[in-house]
Amino acid sequence: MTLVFFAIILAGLQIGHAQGVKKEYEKSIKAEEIPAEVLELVSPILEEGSGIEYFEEFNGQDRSFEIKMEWREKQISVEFYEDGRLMDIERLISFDEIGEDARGNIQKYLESYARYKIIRLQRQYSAEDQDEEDEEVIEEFIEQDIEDLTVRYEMVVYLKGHDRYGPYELLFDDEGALINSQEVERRSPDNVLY
Amino acid sequence: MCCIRTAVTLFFLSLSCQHLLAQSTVLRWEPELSLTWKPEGRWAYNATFSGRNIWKDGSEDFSNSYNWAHVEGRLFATYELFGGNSVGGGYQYRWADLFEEQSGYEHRLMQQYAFITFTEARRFAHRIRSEQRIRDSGTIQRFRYRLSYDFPLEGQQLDPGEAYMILSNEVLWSVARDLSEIDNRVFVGIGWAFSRKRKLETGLQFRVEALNTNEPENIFQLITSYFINR
Repeated sequence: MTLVFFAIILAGLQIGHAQGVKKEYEKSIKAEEIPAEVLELVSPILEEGSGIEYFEEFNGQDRSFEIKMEWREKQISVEFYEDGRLMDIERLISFDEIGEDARGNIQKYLESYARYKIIRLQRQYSAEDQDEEDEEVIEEFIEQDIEDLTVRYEMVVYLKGHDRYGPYELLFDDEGALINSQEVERRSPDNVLY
Repeated sequence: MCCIRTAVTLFFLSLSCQHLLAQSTVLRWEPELSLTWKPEGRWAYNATFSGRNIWKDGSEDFSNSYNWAHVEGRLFATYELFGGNSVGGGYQYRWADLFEEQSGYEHRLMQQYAFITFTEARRFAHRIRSEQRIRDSGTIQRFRYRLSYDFPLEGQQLDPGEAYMILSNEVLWSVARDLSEIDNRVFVGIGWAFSRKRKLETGLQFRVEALNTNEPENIFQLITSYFINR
């Protein structure tokens, strides 16, 4: 009986290997593995940060770096392209912190579904389409002088309706108009449910 | 934070191993094969096959002290509710005392409610279950609540080829005529995701059975599970 069990395991391992491993990955790294120019760029934020964690991500084509920390009692993450350019800064916020007009538009979109439940909301300060240098973007973020920054809202929300059922990631612009949506993939619950 | 979590868990594991070796009277191992199928929609189906091996001390010939205490097969179905909740039910058949002169059996009916929450990559799963354990000697009603906590050991996502840690605590309450017994089970394990559809998990479970009586029993056992989902 024991030999049968192990034979099944080995067969399963072989099948798993034949199917191959996805090339996308995301992993924790040490600060020394972050390019020096990236650390230098983000040092003004790191000075006030705690619980700092460093990650490397690969989406199948491009590599990027992400630094997560608690900053001024809020969870933030700063993401960079491989060449050291700033991608964006994201800050965890509550729904009430969104401006009235944008909040109204987002609420109107969510209420078009039969049911919704917001799990996580981030304000994203994008460095793309910016005339300022990355250093200026970071300085304006620290000073919360965000008028000249491209602001977006990234939300993870459970949705029911419009042929959708489950967790989705929604991206809104600064006026609350939907830019993008995608289903969130969660790891299988088989080891905690059965 | 990741290193601290790993260090604490490994420390707990090492303590468990020492206790297991010190006891050496009874060694138990439960291998398990779990197959899950989730078609389009809110239903998911699971078939699990498991057994319990026991090695008993006191014999110079170790192979003669080995025994399969039981083997069991389980079928389960869950229906996804809104917001990470689910309800489910299932049936299990256990064939016990396989190599004894008189083997035993158990039919088990199960009903379940579960809800899962995430904090970044950390997952908390609450599983509430009611069981009717039907044996030749009578029927036992059992209630169970298990809280599981698992997280990837590398990064914020569990990617293929990466490992994860899982901790859980389960409280069980069995009731029948002349029976009211409370058990507690703590599990510390580590798993490897070979792909998004296959993972191997192993760990130590510490059981305190009948802890509300004058004769509680402590049991350590190794559990190894292989999960396949489609």
